[in-house]
Amino acid sequence: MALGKSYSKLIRILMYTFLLSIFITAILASLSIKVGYTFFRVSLLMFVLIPLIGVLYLAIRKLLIRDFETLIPLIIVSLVILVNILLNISYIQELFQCLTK
Amino acid sequence: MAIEIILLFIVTFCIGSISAALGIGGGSLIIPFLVLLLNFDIKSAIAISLFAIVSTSLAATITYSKKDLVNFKYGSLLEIFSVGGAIISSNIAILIDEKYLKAAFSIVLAYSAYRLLKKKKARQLKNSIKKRTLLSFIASFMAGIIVGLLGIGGGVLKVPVLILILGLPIKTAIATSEFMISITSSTAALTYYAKGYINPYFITAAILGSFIGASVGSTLAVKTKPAILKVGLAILLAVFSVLMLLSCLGVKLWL
Repeated sequence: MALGKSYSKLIRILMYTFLLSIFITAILASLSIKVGYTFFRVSLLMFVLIPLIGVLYLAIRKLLIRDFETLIPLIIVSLVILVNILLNISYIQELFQCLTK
Repeated sequence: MAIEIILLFIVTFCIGSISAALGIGGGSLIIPFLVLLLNFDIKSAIAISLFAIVSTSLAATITYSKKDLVNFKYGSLLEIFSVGGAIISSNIAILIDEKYLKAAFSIVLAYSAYRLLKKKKARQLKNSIKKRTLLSFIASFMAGIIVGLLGIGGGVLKVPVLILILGLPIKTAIATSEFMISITSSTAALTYYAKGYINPYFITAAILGSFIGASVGSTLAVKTKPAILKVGLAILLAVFSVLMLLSCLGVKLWL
């Protein structure tokens, strides 16, 4: 399958999955179910991470076909985004602590 | 809060439809609506706008990449600079006083209105490869700065770079720009989300509103004349620019 088509398929699956989970957990949260609210925030976080997942997928595909011209920028983009996540790690840690409680 | 959520859904739905019909991000409309009509503080409005942009740009990327229109090579290369710019500016924007953000936003709105009305005479640059590469990197970085600082998509800068500097065909440039916008805006949105500028319910309303609106808007685009929409949008942006400037100067608006 062409790269564009498989990328499109992946993003579509991720987007609909997380939109559905956002919608369901939002309903649960509005019914004052505490776990629902935490999962609601996690779903939103996952939604915002879809592009990063997409970039990592593209990087893996480019690695498989050894297209290093595109692979290197993709890896750098992923690393820069990961640095941003690390800068904001305290919030994400707090979120996962809520989940494990 | 329920009324605000419903209003936010309606506003983002309408803006999503207009944006999709005109092929713009929508951030330049969402933020003034939220600040001037719904009395949101500008940083929360920027955060909500970024989430709405992630939603619409991902939806557009799905369509474009299915048709193999996205140039991943150029997109990922330029995205290094855009993402860097977005991270720096989103972390700085949190520290900046609201009135300066409003002033900057007002200028960008006025410029967008001018660009919509101005007849474009696009000519590809014939500079050396080195110069063009450097120029495209700088422009991408600036686009990233705009995304993180003002919560707009940055397509205004990205599309011309891809067409005029890198010589991509218009359709490929728009598709690649959407792919880039999805990554840049998600990076900036993450910063705002982590710093606690967002109410999850408002984001959900914005994401769903803009997503459904964009789907309707693409149908609307076929039935309406883009020229009429463009003039209407330019007037609206100019009015918002003035209102935003007045709000930044502390003038009490009737809204």
